[in-house]
This record gives sequence, structure tokens and C-alpha cells, in this order.
Amino acid sequence: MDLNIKVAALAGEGAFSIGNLLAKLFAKLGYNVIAYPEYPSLIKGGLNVVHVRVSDGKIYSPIHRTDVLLSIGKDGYKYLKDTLHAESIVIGDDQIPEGIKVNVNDIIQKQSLNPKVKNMLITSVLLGILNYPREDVRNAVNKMFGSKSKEILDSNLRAIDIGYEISNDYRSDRTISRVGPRKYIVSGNEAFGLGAIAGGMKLACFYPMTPASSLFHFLISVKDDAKIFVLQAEDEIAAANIAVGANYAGVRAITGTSGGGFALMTETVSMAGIAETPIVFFVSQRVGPSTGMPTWTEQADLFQIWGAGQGDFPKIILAPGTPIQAYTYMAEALNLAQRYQLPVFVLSDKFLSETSFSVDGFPKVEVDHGKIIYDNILEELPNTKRFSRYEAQDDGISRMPVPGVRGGMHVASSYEHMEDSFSTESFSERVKQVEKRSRKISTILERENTLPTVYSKGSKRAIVVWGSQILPVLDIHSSIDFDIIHFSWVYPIDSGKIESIFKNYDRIGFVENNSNMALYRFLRMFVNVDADFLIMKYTGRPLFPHQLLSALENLENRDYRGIEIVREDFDTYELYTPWRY
Amino acid sequence: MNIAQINTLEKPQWCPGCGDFGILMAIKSALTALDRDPSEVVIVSGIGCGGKTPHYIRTYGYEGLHGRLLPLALGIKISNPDLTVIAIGGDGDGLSEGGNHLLHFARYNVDITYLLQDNQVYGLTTGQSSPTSHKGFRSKTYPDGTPIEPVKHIPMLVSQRASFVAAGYAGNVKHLSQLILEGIRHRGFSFINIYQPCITWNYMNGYEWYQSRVYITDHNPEDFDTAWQKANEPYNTNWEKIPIGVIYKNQSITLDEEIVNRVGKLISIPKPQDISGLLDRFSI
Repeated sequence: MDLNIKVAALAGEGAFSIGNLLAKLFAKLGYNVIAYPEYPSLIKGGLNVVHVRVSDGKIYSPIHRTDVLLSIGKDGYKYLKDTLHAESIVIGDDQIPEGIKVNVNDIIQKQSLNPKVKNMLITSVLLGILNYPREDVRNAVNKMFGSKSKEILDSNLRAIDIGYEISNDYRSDRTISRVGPRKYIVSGNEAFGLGAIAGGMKLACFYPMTPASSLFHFLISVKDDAKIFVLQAEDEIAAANIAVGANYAGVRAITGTSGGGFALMTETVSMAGIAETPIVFFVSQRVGPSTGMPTWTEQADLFQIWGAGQGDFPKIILAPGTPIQAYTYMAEALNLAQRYQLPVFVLSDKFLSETSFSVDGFPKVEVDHGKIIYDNILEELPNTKRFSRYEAQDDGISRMPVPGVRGGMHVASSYEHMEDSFSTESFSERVKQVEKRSRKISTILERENTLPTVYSKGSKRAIVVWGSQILPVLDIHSSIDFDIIHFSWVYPIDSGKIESIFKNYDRIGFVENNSNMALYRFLRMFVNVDADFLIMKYTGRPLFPHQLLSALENLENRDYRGIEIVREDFDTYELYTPWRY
Repeated sequence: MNIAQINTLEKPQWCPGCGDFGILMAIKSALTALDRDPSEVVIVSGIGCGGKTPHYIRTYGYEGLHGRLLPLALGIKISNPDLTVIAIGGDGDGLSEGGNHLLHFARYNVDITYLLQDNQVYGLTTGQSSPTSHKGFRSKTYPDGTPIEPVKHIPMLVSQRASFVAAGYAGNVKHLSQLILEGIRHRGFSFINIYQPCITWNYMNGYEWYQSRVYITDHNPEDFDTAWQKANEPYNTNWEKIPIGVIYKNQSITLDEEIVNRVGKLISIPKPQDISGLLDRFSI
């Protein structure tokens, strides 16, 4: 089964909560689910759509085809009509031009229901048609609204019964029953948040910016159970500096934003670089430049991240691509930051951050604070001497006592400094510190697994992706003769080993969700690689599997050489141009 | 702690006669009156002449970014509320680059002591006008005289009912030292504006100029109306009378206390956390 349900409603009419309810209902019975939300940068009035994909097999990303359309209002139908096919089921209120029209306003009035149950009425019609066990829906709604007012709960429960009754006229022979153990539904940002908590993060500082905010909203929702504090600062500069201050004091703290907010954090990145203060920056990319299209997806900011901060200092860039990677990489980023005492960047994008995925659970993580010293130093620090905070160790990593540790007094400094942390403009001390810091890069390459993941089919052709775009590629992997090379560890780069991976292939193509081929151009600074073909998409949506397949078909005719630019199959001008509202 | 524990071998390289020497002495003397180990004190600074201060006191320190010392200090204090955290930086640092932070720190009320070295001029960048330069002050920026009014930050902080607002004078080290000690002991955000001559770049507001204007105020700082009067006195008298001492104070719960009350102390050796209890919300 591969069922694609699209939930469409105007902003504020509950498309997201129904999308989430459907995702959880199917995951409850063991199905794999992907729920990808699309919405404009508006609070009321714009069209919100959740693409819910349900399957009993492995799935990775949303697909275009609409098997079921649930639409409040006519806009959803207009937006998605080209994706309908002969067997599609359309259910909506009386505004939809075709399909099962449920006169929701009438029902609500006659039955004196809460007006917010419109969506639940329509959804219950679908669940009835699919023969989804009604008791499970009632239990789910009890869990969702049980803590809210009794009136809302009762209205919803009655809406379920009414919806199931209406569905009697349209019953299908399809039956939804358990296919496996219950799964969880988490968004990418929730997985990032869980990883941060599992990895011992105690403080998160942010200034609101889509699509990073929902990570912090999740952390806020669990703050008491997780015993963490989330602080909304006056701006991104403050958020970054607060997080650096906390890490200096020994507390694992993160900050997070998107490209525009991250631009403001740049100076702090450089400070953490020279002062060697651990810090994790979460950056969820969206469509730029500048304010761009705030609620849409792109992966074009790699150079901004890599180039952030004046001067030369080591950093680590990670770009997890799946929800489990989001979790494990976030936890590991906290380790890497403390182990190597440097800024670590965890990159996401709107697509990964806000899409929900079914997962079986999350693995245990390990926590390692490297050479950070939390206990009193026993050796005596004679009067007038400072602790040798920046001692030029062979691996580039010095001991870092946190304030409060006896005998560890030193200054963390944005100035160049000597081993004992006093500021200096001595040429020899400068060279000693530059070389000490840069030795971290070879230490990292030696000790960490920095290589891309290769999904091998033994092919002589390879597709290279980074971050979230592994998802649509994995979706088509069974039907193409390509290996996949996924960069989720982006920097630092082991040039020799990566070149030897690329050497295995006759054809190498990069698939990126941007117009600047950021990863390809980035890799070429370190690795001798010439791409044979490029597939790029920069409409603001992720690549869909069918688009990738047709781009690859086009390339096949050209011996897999050249550039394919993926465009959308339709336009949203009338829906998403604000002056038309 | 005693003075020998916090002295450094290196001697500060400020201009001979700079107010920074007096301020350094006042901080050290205030610290020795505390029953603390040097390792329990963190001095955070921005960038500027006074920003070098942490290097000359052997405690923990962080010499951060121009204008960003306050959020850095906040991050340290809320992480480990057992630490004594002092922030020190100039008027350009705190009122130009970092002005936004100061406004918000009046309401965060985190228990740190902020010393603002107010010499009405940029020193380390060689003599440009600062946000507190008096109108008419001839500088590199405005050789014909600064055409704009100075920022009135002490009344601003009083108007925001910041927890502790005081003014000191680098030429009266004994008084300043007591003021710093009072600020450290006050639970809440303690702001101390330190009037300070810059003998190299500020020809207008030197020691002599201050000597005849500065006086120690003994009003009740808990009375808002009087505090408002005192905060505005330099502007109302065209700088004829400059009160030093505690201008305004009030006592309320601090952000670091709020955090401890809500989630406990943040500082501990990092350990893996069990997230299984958080997963219920992800299914139905």
C-alpha cells in the first residue's frame, strides 16, 4: 500500500493538526508515514497543505500523486487537482467542485457542534471509507483533547460518529488494520531536540526564525520533564553569546536560527573559534537570499556556514538527512564541540525540520566531554600564574577548566593569546596558537568517521547528495542503477579518502535543492572531482521522486552528461501572491 | 581572597594617568572584601581599553566581543549561579554597539555587576565621538564639535526600574570600591556608571573638570521620584552637578534564581539523558 492523503485548508483551519492526527493514527497501526507541510508566511488565510504519505513498505519522502484529497474550501482542490487520478477520493466541504461534499456548516449548526470540528467531520468520513477502526480514532481524540474543554472533546467525538455514518454510503473494500508495532511520529526538529536532550543539553537560546523556531517550541514543551531551560534572547547576537557563555561555564548549550539570523551570529562564531569555547549552532536553511520565501525549503547556505567568522579556525559542519540522523548527530555535535573545543554546525532545512516521519524509536547516545575539567585541579597554581589553558598539545586540544574549578584561573580571549591565555602580539606565540588550533583538523580526521555514507548497488554511476536530499533519492533507489553517496558529515574533509570513493565511478552526478550547487562547489575546494551531471531544483519545494526519475531519464539520453533544472508541474501564483488575498 | 591571590605579573599598559588604573584598583579591593576564592569569580569584558581588565586580575575571565559582554556574562551566570560575575566595558561598547542588550538587561535582572567605563570618547580606536560625548565635543569624528546630544542612559535604566543603578568616579577609588562591593552584594542586575577622564583623547572632561562637579549623594535610592531627580541632575544642571553613589535600587527575584526554582542548577558534568519518558507525546 502506498496511500497519499493531502489535507488542505486555509491557515488557522486545522490542516496541520489533522495532518498530524492522520500521521499518528496510521503510525499507531505500524504503518510508515511521512507528513510534509506546505504553507505561506501568513497566520490567517493562506492555503496550508499537509502531504501525508502512508505505506506498509519503506518510504522516505512525500510524493506528488494525490490518492485522497481532504479539502476545506476550494483552494486545496485548485492547488492539487493536477495530482488527482481516476481512483482518487476527494472529500471536502460544499465548496469543492467535485467529490464527496459534506455540508459541514449545516451539520455543525443542526447538531450544535463546536465550529472547529469541520476538519474532524471530513477526516472521519475518510477514516470510515478506509474502514479504520473507529474505537482507535475515538481513543486518539480522547488523548488529543482530553485535557481541553469537555465541550470540544464531545464535539469531536460526535463528529467522528457523524463522519463514519456519512461514510456508509461510500465504503471501500480497503481495510486498514495493524501491520506492525506502533511507531512514533516526530518532525525533524523534534528529533533534533530529542538528540540535544539525550546528549545532555541544558540550555537553548534562540530568537524566533522559521524554520528553526519549532525546534525551540518543542524544547519548551518538554522543559520541565527534561529539566532544561529555553531562553528567548533580544536578538540572535545575544542568543549566540549567551550560549557561548554557558558553554564556557561548562553547560551544554545550543543556539539556533536560519540564515538571516545566523548572519548576526557570525562574529560570535569567530570568537568561539579563537577562544576555543565549545558551541553548537543549529541552522535550518530556508529559501534566500535575505528574507526570501521564509516558509519554503532550500539548501544553499553551505558557504555562509563554512565562511562564517573572520580569520582561520577549525570548525565542524554536519548535515544529517534523516530523522534518526537528526537525533544522533545533534547529540554527537555536543560531544564534538566539547571534545575539540570549537564551533559545530548542525545544518537542516525547512524540509527536514518540519516534515514528520514515523520512527520505531531512538538509540541510546554516548556523552563525552573530552578535556573539559569539572573537578578541582589538584596541582597548585602559584600566585600570579594562570592556568595553561591554551597549552600547545600535539593533538591541538588543551585542557579547559570551567569557572569554579580551583586552580584553573585563566582568560578565554577573543584576542590572540599565549599558552597561559594572556593576550599577545608575539609572532612566535601567534604561530604556535595558529598551528595548535589547526592541528585539531588532522586530529578530527584521524579520530572521527568523516566519510560520506555510500548506498551501494555495485553500480558504476553515483549520485551525490547532502543533508535532507538523501530522502527523495532513497525513495527511487530501487528503480535506478546508481550508487548513492550521502554527505552528512560535510567538514572537515578527508580529501584523499573521498577522492578514492569517487574514483570508483564512471559517472558522478550531484543532486541539490538549490541554484548554487553548494556541495559540489564546496567539495571541489578539497577534492579533485568533476561532475558529469547536475540536477538542481530551486522552486522552494524539495525534489519529488518522480521529478528525479524524469530528470535521470532526460540525462540518460545524453549519456548522463549535462544539467537538469527541475521546475514544478504547476504554479501557485494565484494562491501564494499575498496581494491577492 | 587576598590581593596576592589575584595580582598578576603583567602590568597594565594603559596611558599613564588613565582612569582605568583607579578602576582596576577599586575592583581588586572590592574582591578582597569578598569571602570567595579567585576561582569563583568571572570577569567578562568587551573590547576597548578597559576591556583588557580581566587580564590583570587573576580570576576566571572572558574577553569577548565589542558590545556583547552582557549576554556572555548572562550565559555564565545562569549556568552556574554560584559564581560572582562582573562585566566591564566602555561607553562605546555598552551604549553604541551593545545598547540593545543594556535595555533588555534592565528587565532580565540577572545577578551580575556591570561596570560601564564612561569617558565620553573612544580610546582604543583613537579618539572618535562616543554615545556619551557632550554636544560640542571636538573629536576625530566631528572636528567642528559633536552635533548630537549624549545618550541619557542612567535615567533610561532608572525609568526601566533596573535593580541597582549607581554612578562612581574613577578619581575616587575608595568610594568606587565600596560601590562595586555594594553592587556585587546586591542580588540583581547592578549597573555602575563610572565617570572617567581619558587623558589622551578627552580634552574636555578631565580630572579637574570632574573634581568641581562630582559629589556623593546621600538620597534614599529606594524612592523612585528622588532617584529620577538624581539620575537627571547632570542634564538638568548642564553638568554642573554630577551625583555619585547609589542612584536607584529595588529588590526582586533574579533570572538566575527563577531558573534554579524552575529546573534546578544547569551546571553539572554532562551525562546521557533518558528520553523515553518524552516519547509518549509522539503517538496516539
